[in-house]
Amino acid sequence: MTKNNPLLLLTKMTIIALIIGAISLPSILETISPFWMLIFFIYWIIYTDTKMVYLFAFILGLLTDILQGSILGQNALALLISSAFIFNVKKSFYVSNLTTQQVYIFIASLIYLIALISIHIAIQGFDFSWFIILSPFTSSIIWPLVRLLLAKLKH
Amino acid sequence: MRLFKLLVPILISIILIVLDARFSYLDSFKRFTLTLLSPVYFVVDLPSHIVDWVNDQGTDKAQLVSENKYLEGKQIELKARLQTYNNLVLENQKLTQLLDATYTIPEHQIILAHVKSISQSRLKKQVIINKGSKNGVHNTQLVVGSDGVVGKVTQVTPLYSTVLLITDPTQHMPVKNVRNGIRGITKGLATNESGMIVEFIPLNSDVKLGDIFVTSGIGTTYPPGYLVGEVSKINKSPNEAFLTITLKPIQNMDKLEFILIVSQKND
Repeated sequence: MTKNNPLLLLTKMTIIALIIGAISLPSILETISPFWMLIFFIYWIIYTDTKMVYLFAFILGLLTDILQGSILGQNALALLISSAFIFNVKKSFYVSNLTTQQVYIFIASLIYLIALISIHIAIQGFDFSWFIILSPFTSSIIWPLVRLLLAKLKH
Repeated sequence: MRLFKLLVPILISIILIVLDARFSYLDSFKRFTLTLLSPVYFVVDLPSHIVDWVNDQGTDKAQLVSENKYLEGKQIELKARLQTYNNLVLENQKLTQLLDATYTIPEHQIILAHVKSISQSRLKKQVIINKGSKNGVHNTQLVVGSDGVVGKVTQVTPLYSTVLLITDPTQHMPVKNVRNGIRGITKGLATNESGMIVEFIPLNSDVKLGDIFVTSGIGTTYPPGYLVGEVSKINKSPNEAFLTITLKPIQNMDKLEFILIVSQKND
């Protein structure tokens, strides 16, 4: 795990995640697209030594909410819960092979999705595109590429 | 202690969700932060700026002249059509005076805006446009395309605004049937990319396939008379008090490029 400038890495990752998340895609692709902020943040949790995981998860979640026009706190809560899961399996995640890491990413994304949809149902009712349930799959599929990209960014 | 560190932000998030969903206390904070984050929109939109610039540089004079002639012709055609409309307005005013009614056709101001290729929440149907508070855009203004209603402005920063489409499930718009004036309220469908339903129309009402619904102007938020959708399906269930009417939006939401922000002149 690196101790070099975790905050600088987080800043760079946040900017990239916000930009990638705002790139326009056809409607269905947009719905099934990976949870960029979550998978970038997971990388940061795993490969840096930091103790303020929940504070940063909260701030990044709020930034995502504001940029995406979501209900304030929706992504923040989802990111907090998923981060808590990843933080608990951090050591195991770090030493796992790529496939096992993808399984962890899938579970974290599923937690994220459940939190997002639960808040959506509580506030706006049971009305959303079912394609969204594919997002945890795309998040775990894209993980090797994200890991490679962020490893380059870290150095 | 670790649990406490997790529970505090979770609790704050829940409070924020409730406050934002039920009240508007956080709107100015959201607007301020979004203004700070708007360079992200600029970066995402940069490739389309570059493509536009390259296209502009590559367009030859002959093409511009021919395009200009075509647009001049189109303008004359539209002016001719407008004359008919102006006559109708005058006729309407005379009839209104004769009938001693208080209803008058309001004058509308419009702002032309460009839809940016920027994505937003996957749980909401909305688009970003390149006009903001600096151009006089403000919340709840009606947004129309070349064919019909697009949605309404929901968030404004100095340079960009967010438009919530009429096909979003949280979007409700008072409408009326052009043929017989029957009124209802539209609601978007998340499960259908370009679908809406009209609510609160009684079972025995006269609604047919192909009927056109326009904004009714009730509630004064939206100006009346703009095309919303065409009836594509009618369900009559004897157990329900109202008809289930499905509307197909007249404006194609997938091909939005330029849109108009409409407001009444006294806004």
